[in-house]
Amino acid sequence: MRHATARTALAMSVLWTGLAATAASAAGQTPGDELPPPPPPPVYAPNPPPAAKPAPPPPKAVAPAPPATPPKAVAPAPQPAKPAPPAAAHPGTPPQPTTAPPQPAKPVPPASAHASAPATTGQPAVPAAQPPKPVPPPPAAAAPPVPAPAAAAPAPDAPPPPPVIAPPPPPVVVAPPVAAPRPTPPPPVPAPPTKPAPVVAPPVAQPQPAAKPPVAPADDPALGDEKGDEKGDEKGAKDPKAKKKKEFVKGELASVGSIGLVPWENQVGAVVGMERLGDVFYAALTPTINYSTELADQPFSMSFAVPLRFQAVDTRPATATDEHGWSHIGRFRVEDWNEPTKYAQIIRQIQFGGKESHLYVDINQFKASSLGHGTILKRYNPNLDLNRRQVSGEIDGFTDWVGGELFVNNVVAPNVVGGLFFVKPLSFINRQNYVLRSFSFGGTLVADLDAPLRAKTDLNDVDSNGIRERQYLVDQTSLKPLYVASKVVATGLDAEIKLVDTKNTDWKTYIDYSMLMSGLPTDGNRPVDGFPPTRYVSSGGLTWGNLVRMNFGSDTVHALRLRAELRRYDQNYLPSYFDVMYEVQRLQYRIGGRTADPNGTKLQSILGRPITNDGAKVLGAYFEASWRIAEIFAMAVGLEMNDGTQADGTTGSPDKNLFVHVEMPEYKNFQFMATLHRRSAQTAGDLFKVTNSTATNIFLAKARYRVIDWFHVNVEAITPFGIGPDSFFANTFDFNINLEFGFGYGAKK
Amino acid sequence: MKNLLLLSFLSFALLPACSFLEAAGDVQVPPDSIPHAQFLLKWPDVDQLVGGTLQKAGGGAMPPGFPTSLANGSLAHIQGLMTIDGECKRSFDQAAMEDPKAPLRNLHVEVVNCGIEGRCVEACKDEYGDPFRGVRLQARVQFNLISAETAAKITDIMKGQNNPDMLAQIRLSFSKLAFVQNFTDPATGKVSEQHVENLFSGYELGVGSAYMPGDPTAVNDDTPIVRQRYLASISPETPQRFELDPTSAFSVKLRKAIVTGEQVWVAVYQRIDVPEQYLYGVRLNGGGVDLDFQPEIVISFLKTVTGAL
Repeated sequence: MRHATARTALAMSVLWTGLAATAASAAGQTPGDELPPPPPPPVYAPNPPPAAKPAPPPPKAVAPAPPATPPKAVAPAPQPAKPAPPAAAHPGTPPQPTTAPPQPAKPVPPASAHASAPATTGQPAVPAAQPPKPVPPPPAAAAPPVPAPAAAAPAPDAPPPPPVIAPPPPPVVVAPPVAAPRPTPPPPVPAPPTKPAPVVAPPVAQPQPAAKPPVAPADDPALGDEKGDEKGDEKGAKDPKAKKKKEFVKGELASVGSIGLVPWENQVGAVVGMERLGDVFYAALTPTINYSTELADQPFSMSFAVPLRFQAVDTRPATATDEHGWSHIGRFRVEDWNEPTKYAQIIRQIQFGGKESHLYVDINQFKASSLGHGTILKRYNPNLDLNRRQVSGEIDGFTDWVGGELFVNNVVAPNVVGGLFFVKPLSFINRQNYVLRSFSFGGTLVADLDAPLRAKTDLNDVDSNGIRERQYLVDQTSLKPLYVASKVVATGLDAEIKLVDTKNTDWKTYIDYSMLMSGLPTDGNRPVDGFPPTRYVSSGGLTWGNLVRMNFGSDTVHALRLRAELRRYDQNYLPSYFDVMYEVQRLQYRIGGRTADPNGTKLQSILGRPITNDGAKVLGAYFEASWRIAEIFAMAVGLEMNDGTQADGTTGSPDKNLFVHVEMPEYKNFQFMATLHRRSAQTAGDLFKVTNSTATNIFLAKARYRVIDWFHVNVEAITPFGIGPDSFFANTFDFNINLEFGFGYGAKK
Repeated sequence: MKNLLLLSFLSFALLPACSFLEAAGDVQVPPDSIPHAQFLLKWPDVDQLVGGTLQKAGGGAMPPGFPTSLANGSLAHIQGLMTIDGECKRSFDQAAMEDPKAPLRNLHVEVVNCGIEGRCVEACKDEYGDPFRGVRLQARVQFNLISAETAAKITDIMKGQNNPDMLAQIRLSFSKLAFVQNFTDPATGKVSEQHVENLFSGYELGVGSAYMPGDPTAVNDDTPIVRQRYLASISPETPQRFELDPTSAFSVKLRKAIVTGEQVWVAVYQRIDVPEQYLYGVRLNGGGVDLDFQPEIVISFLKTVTGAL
């Protein structure tokens, strides 16, 4: 959630970025683009007083840039740690002032893989947090720190460019093509004879289409690839910074699976409302502080909250020792803070970088997470059981050669842990060829170290309601259901390669084989408390998937993301075993039944499925589409189908799922998000029946409206799954209004 | 702006009340509106069960020195007799109870001989489907769960609405559920009451439709309520509640019957499995099941509203 000023700044930045990109594109950075007419006088770049500044080159000076110059010609600024000599490598080569305009006296920052990112897509870089500023003229004696590599033709035997060498063009790079009064650039050919800059544009007379696959350094992260690594961005949440920089927008375009709105930025305040835990209602006061900034040119945001709950009414039946009811009104819920591990709940979010970054750290209480292609862990949200709060953690990192992702569902006491490690062996052969560079293979390991094997039921009727075997045994303090725990381990091997990679589109394909392993009870269905004897069981499945990502538009970027998968797997296997409902279904797989089944855990329900039809494989398909329009609007739909059958062979297996998500990240004073998950349908028709039972649906709708600067109203209509009066997981319809008071502080981001 | 603020505060103040209202929507029918049930359900006389005095196979009086009655015999003797006769099951019916005040009628008792290989053992499975060897005792009696007077009180509480879904819970609260038999001290000859819960397994008490045994049109909708594992916890000091599974077919029928405002008879069945090693310890004569329970009904006035969600 952003402050209005922040939004304004962001909008300005977006506008600036869009215009600047248009300008850069017009200047010939985009291959195949026709040279556009000179843009109007800059309305976004304040002009320096002409009298005090050297006259900038006229727009015509920009024009000579060959319109067909491929991005790769301008992308890699072949500069290692020190500034390169100015001008073209080959004397006589026409300079390319559009791509390497004269730089201010500001020294070139140290090169880094990320910092170099903007250059590769042919997009000028605009620091997201800094609106464009007038560029002071460079001193006449100042040597241009960045050469004009676009004009330099590579020597036939030129060595490959050193990795991580491209310094980011400072903001001034954006302006020159369209900003009429600009500082005077250095003479066109001041460059001393020097080593030719490798990986630069071919001569002007030899334009090449940028999309030509064999050599496309534009997609090299180390050389400034904005798209990042293939696997490294596989599960990424959207990165607002990406939009600001006009980077290729990818990753998750919508917050599917998230259970809350992202908190506002740079404000301190409190949220007041009512909360329900099981049968007990609380008045909740949550002081909150949020802060967002940039750290090492990466977005860095933090949000902390201290949930304080005071009991209102306990609707459980009276017992011999406690009348319940209103007898403890006003009592502070000490159970929220009675263990050191519970203090982690003050962390609502700590995020560094974006999925496009080479390093991404995300610790939060809201989001869903995926690992790799999601064939094992997809959109798993540890907080879907709304009676519990868990702070999950995720760290991603990648280079051109190796990469990995780590995930824990609880940073203090994790039980679902996962990791992905991949290598890109062909990068050692040729990193300039995106096909070779994008090829990777990797391994995934995810485990639930505390997987419910058999649920305990309320045989002793601790809540005195007479329901024993139909409801779970619940710790009446923590409201956590109790169970006999085992372990579920999922492993996978995968390989992927990018087939198409252009400025606005990329397409990759992957194949993935995954296995589930655990033990099943061999003692029948006896509801015993002890750990039963078990036998080893495993199952597996093969997935072939394709992911297509596209960006459209300039001022307002439309991002489209399509994923299609074909699956073939064992009857007792389930793709994306750790899915959006895992936190609930791990104990009670059959949601909607409104009754407890001790042996109805996900472990037993999936791995224990009877094998019929001579073990014929199940064929399945998954399709997902997301569309995002800047920060204005996002939506996503997903469909998961299979031809599995029940043990009796008459009806479909309950693994058919559908979701629809609509989101308005920020629109004026309004924020909105709504998600409908229809889960565990027996047949495809059930997924689309309007009159279908809502017992298996998840509906999350949240809206936030800023009434005045310091006062917001949050409205939510949700059907959370939680342990309620009947002591089994069921969704209930809750409609809540919370009041949010907050004051901005510090610089608005 | 002010209106919006006011609306926000009002909504904030009022909406939680809806949740409280929902929580307070369940009302239990006062216990004094439903008669307490307390009775001793006796096992039938053994000689009646086995068909009179013992006779020699093929007819005729027993040789001198052999017992002519099984009145003091154990289940081991009964099983032996049934095995000799090649019987898997023997039953006994009693239309009226000894205690005329007991809301019971039509007692039906079965003794199943789970001891003859190839004939009877295959039909004897425990609740988990495992084979069982010994003697299975089954009793079924019709019980007046809702009298006409009680039915009228319930309809009063429901304010004339005859929606079965309003009956959120039907449950029995047991303060006594004990299997007893007379024990004669061989030394003193003194007779005392002895509990035998530790001599059998697989206990199950449930309810179902009150059909007469042997009725070909009857549909078995028996629904278990109390199982063996709960017996030890039931006592007058620690009464235990047991809910009738609301999803069972019988429960659906029962709720429909209750809202009609008429008296309701149900069948209460019990079953125990006495394994072979304990057959000598269990006698029928002088034994039975001592029951003391309170039927309870919970009515939800918001059920019709929330049921659609």
